[in-house]
Amino acid sequence: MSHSTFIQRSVRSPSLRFLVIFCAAALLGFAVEVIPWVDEHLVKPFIAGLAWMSGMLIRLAGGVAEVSYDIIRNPLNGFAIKIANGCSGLEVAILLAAGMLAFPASWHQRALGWIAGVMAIMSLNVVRVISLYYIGQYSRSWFDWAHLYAWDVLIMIDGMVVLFLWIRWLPPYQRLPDARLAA
Amino acid sequence: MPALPRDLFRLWLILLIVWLVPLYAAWWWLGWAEWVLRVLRGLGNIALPPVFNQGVSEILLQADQSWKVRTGLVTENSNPSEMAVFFIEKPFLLHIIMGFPLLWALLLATPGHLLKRLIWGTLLLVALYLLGIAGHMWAMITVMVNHQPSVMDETLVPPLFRVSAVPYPLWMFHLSGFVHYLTVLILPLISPVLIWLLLCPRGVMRLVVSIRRRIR
Repeated sequence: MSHSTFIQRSVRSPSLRFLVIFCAAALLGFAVEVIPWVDEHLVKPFIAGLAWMSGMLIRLAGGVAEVSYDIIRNPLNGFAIKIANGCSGLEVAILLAAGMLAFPASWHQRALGWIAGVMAIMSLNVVRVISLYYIGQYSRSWFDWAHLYAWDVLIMIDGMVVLFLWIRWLPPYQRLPDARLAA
Repeated sequence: MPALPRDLFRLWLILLIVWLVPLYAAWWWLGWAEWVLRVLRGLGNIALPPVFNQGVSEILLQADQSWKVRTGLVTENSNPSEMAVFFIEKPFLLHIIMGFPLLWALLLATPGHLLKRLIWGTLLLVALYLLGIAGHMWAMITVMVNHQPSVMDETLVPPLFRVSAVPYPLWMFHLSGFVHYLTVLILPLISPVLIWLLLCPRGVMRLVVSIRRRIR
């Protein structure tokens, strides 16, 4: 298939168009995220904020936690977790933005959906950090399981559900040219 | 167009979670993950040495299930000359291949030709995760050859020894860091979803259509 044929097919096929725009937008978002200036001035302070918020909630609930930038530590037993890049929820927020960009909607609808979606993802991410802080003190193998599998998958599913709910929230179709695909 | 059940999305979500639980349990506790790692190591031993030339000669399995990657790069000041090696820890490998149960659950929750999709999806994911492991190896090799830490991942630091090799240009060093970031943080999560979209376009479209409030 030539380049022009592929582009024509992508423009006509909604699924392919979605995939192409989604991948391009996500790649651009990740490229911006790893720019050293962005990492230093936006990502790292954001992660520190996430650690501070998690520590504050733990203390509010009667727990013990000391926060030092991106590290949450229990002074009673020395256990500590460090929130690394990739545990901030920003990656799923970028994927959500790419998904909303690839789906036909107005910029206003996308902005509203993204803000609400990011709040949902970040809320769940705070729960993830707090739960990992406690699970890690209980069992190393359970911590690995929750850290490597359970929470990553849950956050990803959260992102997908947010995207679907946003699609549901969008105004009804004027025309539905792709309905035949659903048949 | 057949009538779409209004609660199709809810049904799909419940099915997804119902499938995820036993699949991840089997993946973690019944040793499915180790079995997939064995397949990937075998494929890696065939595919990666020609791709990396001197960078990868052989992938060996350690007692703790981590991988020891033997390179063709000679360490400096070694007499007799020694080939450099690097290690990939098992938890790291498990993280890279974490998406298999998610892909299977997504495919099982979406109606269609299950067996065909499961086979194709698994094969595609094996290929993508092998690419992910290759991306990680490339970043390890560039860090080792240039003898400087990755700018994008503070955990990627050079070993104590140096190797006799021409350093990579700066742009390639940065590119390998970005590829590493994508393959380690993004690929494990997004590839099952992308493969699901690719293999079940009608199922996904049906799902999207069913969740819209009014359809003309």
